[in-house]
Amino acid sequence: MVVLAVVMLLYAIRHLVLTVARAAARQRPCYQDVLDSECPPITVLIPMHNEEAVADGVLAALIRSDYPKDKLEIIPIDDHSQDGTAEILQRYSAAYPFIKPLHRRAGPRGKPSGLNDALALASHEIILVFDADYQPSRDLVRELAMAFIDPEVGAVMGRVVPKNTAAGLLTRLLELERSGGYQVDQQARYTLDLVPQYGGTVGGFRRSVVLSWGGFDPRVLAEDTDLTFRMYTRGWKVAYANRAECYEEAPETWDVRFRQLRRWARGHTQVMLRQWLLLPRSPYLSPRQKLDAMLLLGIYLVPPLLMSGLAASLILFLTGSIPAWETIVLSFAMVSYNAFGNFAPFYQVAAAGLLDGMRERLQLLPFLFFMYLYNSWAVTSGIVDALVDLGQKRMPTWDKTKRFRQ
Amino acid sequence: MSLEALVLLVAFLGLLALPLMPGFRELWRPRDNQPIDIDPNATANPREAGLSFRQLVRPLLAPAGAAAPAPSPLDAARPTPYEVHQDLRVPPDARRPVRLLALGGAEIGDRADLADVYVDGPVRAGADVRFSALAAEGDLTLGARCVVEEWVDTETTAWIGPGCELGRSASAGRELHLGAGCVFRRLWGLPISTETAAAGEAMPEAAPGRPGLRTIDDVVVWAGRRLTLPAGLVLERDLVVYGEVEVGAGSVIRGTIKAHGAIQLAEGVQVDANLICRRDVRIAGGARIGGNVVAEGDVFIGPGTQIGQKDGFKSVYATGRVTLSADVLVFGRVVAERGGSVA
Repeated sequence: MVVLAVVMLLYAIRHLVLTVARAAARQRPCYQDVLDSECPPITVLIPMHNEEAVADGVLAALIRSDYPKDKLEIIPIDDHSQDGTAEILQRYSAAYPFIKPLHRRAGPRGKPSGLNDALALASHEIILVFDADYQPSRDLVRELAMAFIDPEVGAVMGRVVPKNTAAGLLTRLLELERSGGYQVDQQARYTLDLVPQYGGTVGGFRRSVVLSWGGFDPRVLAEDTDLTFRMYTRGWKVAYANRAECYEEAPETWDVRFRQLRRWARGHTQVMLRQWLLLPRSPYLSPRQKLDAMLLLGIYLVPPLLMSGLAASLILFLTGSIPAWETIVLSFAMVSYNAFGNFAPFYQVAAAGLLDGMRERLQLLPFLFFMYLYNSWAVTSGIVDALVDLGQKRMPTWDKTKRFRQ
Repeated sequence: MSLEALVLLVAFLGLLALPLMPGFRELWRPRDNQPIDIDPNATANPREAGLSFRQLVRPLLAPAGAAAPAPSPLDAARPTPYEVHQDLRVPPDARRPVRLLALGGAEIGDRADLADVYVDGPVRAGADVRFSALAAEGDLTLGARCVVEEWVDTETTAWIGPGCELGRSASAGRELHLGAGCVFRRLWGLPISTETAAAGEAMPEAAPGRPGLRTIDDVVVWAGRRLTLPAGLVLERDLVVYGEVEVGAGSVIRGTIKAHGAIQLAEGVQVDANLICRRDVRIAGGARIGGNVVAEGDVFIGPGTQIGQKDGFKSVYATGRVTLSADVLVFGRVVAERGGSVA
């Protein structure tokens, strides 16, 4: 119980520190203001599985990019698609020689396997990755690419912004959540020289670094988290470019969101189980970076821990197992935690909303509490999946997030 | 259930629902449900202000033709009064609060006080002139102690007199020459030069940078608090230092230097790629930097230093202040988030 309380307190403090750091401290810039006529050659990878609804959009956006086309290679990864994705890619590759589709019809399906095959074909050292539903703006490739002038940067992450916010309550809440996650959480971790995370899309990495450990592991569903921690434990840094913003399509139905989050939690837990013991031994991380990394690794454990903690408190209270004076202390602790701890992520979202110029939409903030309960269910399911994977040595299957664009 | 219990239950549920009420209103009648604005056509252009202004005023020049001056509202939404002149002549001490557009050149007398100015030819301004903003297609000369509140941009070459204040940005399609004592935030020129620098002629070019392939093996990591490299050293790789680094005179670094502490370069150091620093950068002088200089602190660039090279552009970016000494050449951009100055 005490351990649980300390862990929860650490997370609460972490959220509050990040919020204050983002709101009040001088922010660390990324490299977007660097203009350089010698742009590094870039390979852009776009994993696709049945993406005929969105393939046009991402390719058209990348063609409009102001990045020099003689230094740009685009490899859309047609991963066992059964719809019209392949035809769309063929059309683009016929018109634009720098678009070189990879059609995968054999081998396991899934993002890590697709990325591995594409890395073998990629011509350049700097790799950027976009999901198929993303719409990069004209200068986004340059903004991300410039981070690699820093010889310590092994990966870079941009900011994801939901495009379909008006679709309903879920997309509006997801926008708030994303805003808090990027505008405050990632930026503050970058400013404080902690461990910002590579998110698998709107980001990039050095090909040679990923190949140095054998590429992506197809058994890991969160290949982005895996890459993040492998980078840090080998001395590389992840840069966060807050102004490198890109639209994505957020899930519009609760069941799609549930499956997405369950997959994330499952993949994240897989990584946690692999990296938990390696992190403290890394000679490249400072103690506070190690602490932040450990807290980041365990972030998906928070919802089940919180729920079990609340349930335990309730049971103790109702069964009369707590003496009167301890009840008072416990009540005070619970009220304090609820005010400053449990709601710390909400402060983070509120600060992000204000920084992003949101006004009316912040009125939806209390609804996040209910989404948190829903998320807890999905996350707990994902953690159970990961533990079963481990116990049964089961190979997880890739569950692609459904698209909603017509 | 008793009445008291019912009232208590209703009050409890009401209190629970209370924080949600504004949200329900927002859901019922959305007032703020559009995505965060991202301009899909955004592109980094250091002359953005001047180019946007040209797009705004050029349509006004065509119908006006030779019939100048022709004051009229700019448009119904933004009724900015303007005047179109063939050649703009502003006498000393004149105050002209309207937007001035010139089809030919412009001569502006000392101590004039002007709003936005667009000139389709060369501009020559006297001393102590104040502009809101200034765009020119021809060569631009500002006298001593001129003040630009917003920005100044020319398609060709700009000579900025000593002691000028250059607002948010000063940019030139070709060379940008700065007099001593100028203060600025953002500069762009090919090259930017300070007094006595012979732009693009006398200084030998730095070796080309090394974009592209960089693997783990390229990097030398120094985990100590301080690293001092001796004079005349040649280092063939990138260098990462967790503390401060001091590079001895005449050393040659073939890659990038990244330091978590301050970077100090002694006289005549050559860095073929970038200088990246979590603190201050001090370049003693006579240095040649082939790549970019990025600092999360102040940057001091000593006399005779060249950054970037002809036929290309690089950036000097500091979250703190930038000081340019005399005889400095920067091919490309200088950004000083907390202001910069020419010594």
